[in-house]
Amino acid sequence: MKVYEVERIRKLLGLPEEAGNQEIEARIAELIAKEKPSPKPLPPEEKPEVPAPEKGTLVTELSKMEFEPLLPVEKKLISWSIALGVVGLGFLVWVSYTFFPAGH
Amino acid sequence: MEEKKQGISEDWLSFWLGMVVFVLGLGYFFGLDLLGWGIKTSVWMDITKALSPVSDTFKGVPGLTSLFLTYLFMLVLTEIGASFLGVRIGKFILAFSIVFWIGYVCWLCGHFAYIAATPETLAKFGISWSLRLTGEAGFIVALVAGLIVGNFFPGFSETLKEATRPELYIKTAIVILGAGLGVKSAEAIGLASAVLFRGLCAIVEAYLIYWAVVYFISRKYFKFSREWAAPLASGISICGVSAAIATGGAIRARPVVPIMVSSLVVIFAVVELIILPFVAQTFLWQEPMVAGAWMGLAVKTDGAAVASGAIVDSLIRSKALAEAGINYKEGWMLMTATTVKMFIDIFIGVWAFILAIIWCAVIECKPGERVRPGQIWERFPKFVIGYVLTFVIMLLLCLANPGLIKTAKAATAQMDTFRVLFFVLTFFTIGVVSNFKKLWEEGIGRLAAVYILCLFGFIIWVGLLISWIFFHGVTPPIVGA
Repeated sequence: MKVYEVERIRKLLGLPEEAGNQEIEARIAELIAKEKPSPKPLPPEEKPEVPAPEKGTLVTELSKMEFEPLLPVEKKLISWSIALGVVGLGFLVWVSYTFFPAGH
Repeated sequence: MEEKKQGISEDWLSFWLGMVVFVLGLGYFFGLDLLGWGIKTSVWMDITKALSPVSDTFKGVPGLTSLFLTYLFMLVLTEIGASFLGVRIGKFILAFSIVFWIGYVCWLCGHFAYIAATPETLAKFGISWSLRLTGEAGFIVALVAGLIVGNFFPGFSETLKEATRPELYIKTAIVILGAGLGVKSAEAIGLASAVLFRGLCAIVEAYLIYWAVVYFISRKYFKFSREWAAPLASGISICGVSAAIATGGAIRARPVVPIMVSSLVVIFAVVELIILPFVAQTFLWQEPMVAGAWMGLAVKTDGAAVASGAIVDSLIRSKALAEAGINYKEGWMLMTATTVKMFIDIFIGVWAFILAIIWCAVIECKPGERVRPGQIWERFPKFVIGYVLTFVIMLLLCLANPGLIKTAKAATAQMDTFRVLFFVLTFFTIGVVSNFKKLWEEGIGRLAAVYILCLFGFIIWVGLLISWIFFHGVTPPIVGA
């Protein structure tokens, strides 16, 4: 694509001059999403349709899986979650013994 | 990835089916015995004495007539419901009829005295021994029959496909179950409140503790990507199929991921259903409420969890009567298992919403992605509304008018006729859909290893420990006390 064509597209999308290709792509994706209403999630028990190109065996799917090291944010999510859970349970045990004596 | 299907969902259908039976049963309060012709199956040595209508009003009706009327009613009810699902009616009628009759024969076989008779009734049947499994052994017979059909007769299973809907049947049964549990709770409100509170606590365990540990193990030690680890964590720790699919949607995983996780969840839930109730009977018969709560926490699909609660209820009551002469009132262990599982279920939508926000905000956000609070309602299991409605209506009715409790028990006993049959259909169809050949599928080893390590190495035992902390020493009310 020529430079002047990219500039024209940038202007049509209402992006500043310094916006790069990533911003252009993101803006296009937003506009497409706005035009097409998001499909409603299926009710809990109904399984989603698997597009034909994605149907495959488990072993091929697992072989395509890329290694992703644990991010710091994931470690935080895990530790906070467990800590909150343990503290929360301790509190709930106290509430149970204090306010629901028929349960003990 | 997610398309809107025509017609209503199974969730809403189970709500309406359950409510129809509930409303018809309420006619008893107005002197209208609208469900009294339903079939009652008794423990038998002489099979001609096994069948009779549930209500004395219809005692002149032969057992076989009552059975046929019950079949017709359930066929018409589910067929009308199935038409709203958009299924092929002719195929559904054939499939449902086969499923019903095989299921009922299994239920009847389970009531054979040598299998079902409890010790105090041996003399009445003229026998010196029995397996003492109570009539609920029929559930196990139905499950085994379903496993045989599903794993060895694939062509026949295919014929039954339109009516092989274990989740629909168990959810309908749960809506009806709420009514009976409401009446029981009115008689022991203190214990019922404790059970409801225990259900709330299960949310903290399942979502904050279990999910985090399983996610960590799958990511760190089994090297699963985020796309796989999140649905796997939800499937193993929360609620099996629904949670895996909801999580897959929340983090924008490809549809193939939660589908593959779900197929494993179903198989392991059946393994738990076969093993855990008998383990509970052996080691926890003196701690019945611990056993009930344990089933709700440890067994990971709605159908299998409630089914486990029903089996534990009958096995432990039978053992307590045989070993200690204690006759616990029926249904409290089942209520505990069901309540714990329902509370876990209702938070799936909230959890999916939270994960979607976290994924989009700090982990990875796909272009154009938007997180909608409306998802919480869209993913809310609607059949729980039915369970709560029937529970609250009967509870308030009985609390406001204690004199009505006897009538309420009679009314819910009639509704229970159909609740039990929906349970039987659940057990049989769970067996049919459980394809154990999946365990031999190439590549399954890694997924199964995470499952076995997390479920049998951590979740089951932590669930037991926490159930023990909350419920040890607590027993259901005793008959006649």
